[in-house]
Amino acid sequence: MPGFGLAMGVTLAWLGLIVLIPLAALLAKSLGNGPAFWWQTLATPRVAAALELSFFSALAAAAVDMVFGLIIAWVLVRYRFPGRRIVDALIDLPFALPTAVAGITLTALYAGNGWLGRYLEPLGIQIAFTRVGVFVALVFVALPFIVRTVQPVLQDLDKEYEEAAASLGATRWQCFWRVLWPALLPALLTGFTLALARAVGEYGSVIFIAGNLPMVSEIAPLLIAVKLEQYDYVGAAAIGTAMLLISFVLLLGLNLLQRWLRRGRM
Amino acid sequence: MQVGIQSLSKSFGSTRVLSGIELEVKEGEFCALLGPSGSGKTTLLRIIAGLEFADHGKVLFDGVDVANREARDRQVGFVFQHYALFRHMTVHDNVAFGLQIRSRAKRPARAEIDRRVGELLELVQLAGFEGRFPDQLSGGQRQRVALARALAIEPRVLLLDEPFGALDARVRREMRSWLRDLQRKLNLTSILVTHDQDEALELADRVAVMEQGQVLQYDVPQQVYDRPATPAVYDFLGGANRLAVRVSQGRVLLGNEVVAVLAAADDAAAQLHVRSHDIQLLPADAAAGLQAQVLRATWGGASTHYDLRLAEGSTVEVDQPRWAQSGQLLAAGDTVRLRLERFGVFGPVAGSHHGITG
Amino acid sequence: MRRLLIGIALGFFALFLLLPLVVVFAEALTKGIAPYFTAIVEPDAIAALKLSLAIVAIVVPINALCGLCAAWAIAKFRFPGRSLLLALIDLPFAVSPVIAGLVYVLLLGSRGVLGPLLQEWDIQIIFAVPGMVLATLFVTFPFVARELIPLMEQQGNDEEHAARLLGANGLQIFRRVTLPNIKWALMYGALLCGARALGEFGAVSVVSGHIRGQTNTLPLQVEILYNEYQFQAAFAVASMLALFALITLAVKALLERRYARELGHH
Repeated sequence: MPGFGLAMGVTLAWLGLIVLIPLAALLAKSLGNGPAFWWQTLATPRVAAALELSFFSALAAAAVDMVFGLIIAWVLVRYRFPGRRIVDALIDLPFALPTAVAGITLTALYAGNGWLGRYLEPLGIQIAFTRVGVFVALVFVALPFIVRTVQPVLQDLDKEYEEAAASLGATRWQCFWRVLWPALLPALLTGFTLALARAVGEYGSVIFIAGNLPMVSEIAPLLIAVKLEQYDYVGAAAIGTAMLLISFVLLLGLNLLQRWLRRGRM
Repeated sequence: MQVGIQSLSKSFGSTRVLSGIELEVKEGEFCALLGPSGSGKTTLLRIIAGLEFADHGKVLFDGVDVANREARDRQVGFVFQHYALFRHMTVHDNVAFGLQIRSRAKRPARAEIDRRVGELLELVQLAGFEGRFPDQLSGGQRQRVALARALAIEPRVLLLDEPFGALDARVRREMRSWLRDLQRKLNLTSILVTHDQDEALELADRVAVMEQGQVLQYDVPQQVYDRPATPAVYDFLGGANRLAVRVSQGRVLLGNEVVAVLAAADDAAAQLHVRSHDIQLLPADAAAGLQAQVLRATWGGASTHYDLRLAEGSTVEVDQPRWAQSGQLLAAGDTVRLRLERFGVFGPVAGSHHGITG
Repeated sequence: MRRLLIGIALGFFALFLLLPLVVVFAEALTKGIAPYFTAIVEPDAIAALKLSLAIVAIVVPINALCGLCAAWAIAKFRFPGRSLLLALIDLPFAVSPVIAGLVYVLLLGSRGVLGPLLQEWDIQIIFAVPGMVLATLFVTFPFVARELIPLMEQQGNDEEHAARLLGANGLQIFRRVTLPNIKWALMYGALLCGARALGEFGAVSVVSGHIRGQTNTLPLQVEILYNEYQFQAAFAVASMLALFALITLAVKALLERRYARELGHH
């Protein structure tokens, strides 16, 4: 087959120029003064709080989406109801809607005088400009990743599977736990991984609703932007590498879990 | 055209897939490469086509080494197992492709291309299908389009890679005899890869039996079938029982019984191969034959299958054709005598011998 | 059970996806039709729209072409390091958009690795349009390749081999055999790439000079208006982006339904 050299050359040049060399610049900048200095930059309370908020709210949002995403995927695949096609198409809205638009819209919804906020505030529930706001924005952003990874697997899972289990005397609950759940788990985990990766780095939809109070509701990507505005390149680079490092460890762990689940299955 | 393969070897990484292949296909001859999967037959075919390249050795087209020539310059017709029709083109455009892509100087005029396509579709009995798309055709029709497409460039040799593998049994039989007639008519040198022994024996002028990257035997079908060169060929050509025997002063001994007499005088252990349908069942009171007891009888339409135990302990399978069954079927526990009609004996010292009793 | 699940799914859908969509348009029209159009045709908004479309027009062809090369090399050939290359192409999806902007600032900014060199030649990339193009290239990098690789792997090489044996050269194989087989998937990938390029906020925000009428894209314009408390105008511009998003989703759904097989989605 011809064209390997040309295609490979273009690919490597493209990958190198757009992705790898800039990422290398990040590593060079953040580790240029030695790991001790890097750690010192990170170990301030403000940075630690921002990283903690980013990762924990992303984990929480991905977990919540895992539950509701599974239900939505199930309903879309198994049931027929009016408007199903439109619901199906709109699931990808968070992909397609620019994050800044999502950000100001969620704020308009949940601010104290907002569409929903005005009913929640009297109940003592505050969402906008708190950590809960960060979580809500991430739930919005990460939802399609779960639905879209689980949906095709559910579609391929023949109804015969469940029928076979039922004919062997399994209850509905047993059908779900012993037949469907093991088949869905790998896809759910993949979706969770993708959702997490997206939510950790999310910026646009969060910064409007979060209020960005240092130590309270300031996410790590925002702190990078703040440091850049202050021309603290080394600080920004340090947070950037820390985020990449933590993400890498998390994704690697999820990957290993995935492999462990697949063992014994071809 | 004449195709020659000389001392050809190929490895993928550390796995040797072909070693020291020698093969000669004469002008107009139909050659079948027969072997189990992993025997290297498809790799050999792809090397002849120029889709893979050998590590060593020569591929000769009419005596000219083409081993370093690109696939597009070899002018070979290739028919793929899964058709590889261009799914977005009509039948007409598929067949015309090889002509349409030629440089302007060598490309026939449009009317000429249309005429040629019409002729070829006529040849493969698909006239009138020009406007259809591949997914509107049955498997057999698709394969015939693929053949017409391969023939359009007037190939010097036709290479067929398991062409009927994806078809159902009935269509496969029809295609087989049709292809044989077509190949004779065109007098086109052809090489077929298959793992189906019936297909190879029925279609080919000569059959190369391959295993583990080597050609075990290359001969006309009757020779390959009647006088397999090695135990592996015997095994692959189907239905063979293997029995441990001794050859002593020209006599083949199974336990203490003389099975056959050969012209060899060695005294050594050997293997006797006999196909299940080359054994005749005789009544228990017959004058000669090996004594055996029926373990199980399975009626199967055209023939009945028996599992038997010989007096000396080993088991043998026999297929008895319907015409040879007289009266009641044998049942488990009955005793019979066996006569080996055709067999082969292979031994380290004895070499290979083929016998016909009687 | 069925009703309960449909209820939960639709409830979650309405709350998290449908309601925000309604809010965008409702907020944009709070003051009526006339102010809405005034906000949209305002010169800064028009300039932002032009810049956004220009970035899309540069980014999509580049990433489509390079994605095509990468897919050709990865799907049609086996070579050592193939799975590493595949992982590297996916990398930008796992990186925060803010980091995507950050790496270019660190590489090409005035205090970046190549900063002095660029200054000497009087080339400005960061806080100017070229930087915004680069950052957008980074975040939309994988879309086309990701769409094409599984499809091309599934289609195999037989058709290309057949064409070669019939005498076709590399270009003829590509144009007459490969391209027709992947054209819809290419469009699909380009659509997703374009939608993301149009709406990208975080990466572009970091490298943009935030100069009105010059280095503002539509999402950045939304942010500026919002931060100046011009809520109605911000939502008016946002509603334009939401409309683009809805069109994207509609075209995407159409492609998925009409060309499911050509796209390799089952």
